[in-house]
Amino acid sequence: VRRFAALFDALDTTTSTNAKVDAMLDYFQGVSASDAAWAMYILIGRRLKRVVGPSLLREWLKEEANLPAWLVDETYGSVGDLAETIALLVPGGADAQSLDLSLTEWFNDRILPLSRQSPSGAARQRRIVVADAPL
Amino acid sequence: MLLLLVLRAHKYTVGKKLHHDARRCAWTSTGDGVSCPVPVSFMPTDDIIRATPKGLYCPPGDFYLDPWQPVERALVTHAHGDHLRAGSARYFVAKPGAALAGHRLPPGAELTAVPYREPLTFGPVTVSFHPAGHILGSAQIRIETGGEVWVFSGDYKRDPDPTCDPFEVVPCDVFISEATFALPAYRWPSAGSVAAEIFTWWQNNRKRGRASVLFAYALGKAQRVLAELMALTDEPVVVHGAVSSLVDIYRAEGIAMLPTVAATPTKAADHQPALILAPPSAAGSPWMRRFGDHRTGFCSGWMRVRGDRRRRGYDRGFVLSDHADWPSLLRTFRETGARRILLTHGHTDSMARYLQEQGVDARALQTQYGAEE
Repeated sequence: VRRFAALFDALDTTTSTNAKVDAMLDYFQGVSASDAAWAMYILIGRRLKRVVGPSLLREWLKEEANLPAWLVDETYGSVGDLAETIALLVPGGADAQSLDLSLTEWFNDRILPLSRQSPSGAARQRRIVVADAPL
Repeated sequence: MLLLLVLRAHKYTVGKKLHHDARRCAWTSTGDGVSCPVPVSFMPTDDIIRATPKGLYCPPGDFYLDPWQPVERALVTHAHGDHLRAGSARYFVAKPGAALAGHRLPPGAELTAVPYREPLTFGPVTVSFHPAGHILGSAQIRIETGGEVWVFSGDYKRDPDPTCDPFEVVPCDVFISEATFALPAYRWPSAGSVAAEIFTWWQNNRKRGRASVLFAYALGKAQRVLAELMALTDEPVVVHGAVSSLVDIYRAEGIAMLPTVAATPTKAADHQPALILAPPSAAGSPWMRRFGDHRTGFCSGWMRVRGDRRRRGYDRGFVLSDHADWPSLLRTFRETGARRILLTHGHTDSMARYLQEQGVDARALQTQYGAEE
């Protein structure tokens, strides 16, 4: 998933279309077919439905961030994006082992099973989504 | 004489009481020495620093702190335009910042340079300047009278900065603080790691034959970038005229920075592989044409948030701030030991509410300081 994170950084740190095309060429030439398919899925704006909804994510964020709920809401209002707010308010981020997983492994082994989790798996689920996300 | 002492002691206890009851009512002293409650809106506060239409004012010492209108005596924390304004009769600044203040004020302004920590007296009030770590010569102002100590922070940061003296914790009863970045999303990476990002960006642009135009506040931030980059290179950096005159003042004060060259129109080709430092106002101006193919970057604490970065249309945002981040603000409030926190500008309401919920006496003050960086 490091390569995908690097691709995202490259796309995010330039306003030049040529530079973005170059970064995508680089990425797609160097990864497996299934990683390329998942990357394409994200880049064209598709979303997995019903894995974890935004209201549940907000709830988890409030617990993980160790801040008053109103302050999390206010920060979210100022940042304007929930995923980014999570990245900014939950320090730590991904461990090296999580980063070594491929994009496909992230989807198949970590993200997709979330929709099938039992309530008892909630704590683990929360750590995966909120704290280990490679943002 | 004895009566005077009794009255003073009385006034002191009334003053103490006031802080505990400030939200519901306040106590005021009548002529015969009897106290009665009055609604807070009518209260003639006996705070030694008050927000007035001209700026923060100290009645017993008859001086203003960073006033936004012309006054008789202005004590100024640092030379940024929202804190140092022209038109006052006399200015007092910390000595290492005197040259910058002199540069920014109209010729002939009466300016007194006061070494850090050296006490000054204004009637019953003792004042001293202490390093704030914001930019060269920036100061917090300590105000003491009647056994009470107030500190006005101006702008400050806790991160190391090779271009100025580090922030000094000054114990006080009341701490008047900035709150520019007082939201928990704002946490700064180390300046060294940001300098490395800037350097890598510059080198990558150069490999592709492009100039790197880095926008940074002309006073303070630009010089900090030049000083931080010394750990990575000794190459000269091209600077905009607005940056160049301030770099000269920093050099005269003995601050070590990368060599700089002026961006002259005749040397367009030389600029191609260069790093160019310019104030944000130069973005999109005809001045930029001379650099041909280039990429742009912006150095600011606001770059911590992607939306702010994208809205401004720069290719890159570098998170480098001369203000305290969320953890530094909280740490500073704790370390000063202040029993009361007053917040001057930025996300003042969020911070005030957060502190109140932690049991700290905190509120926002109305001021006209800006949030630019």
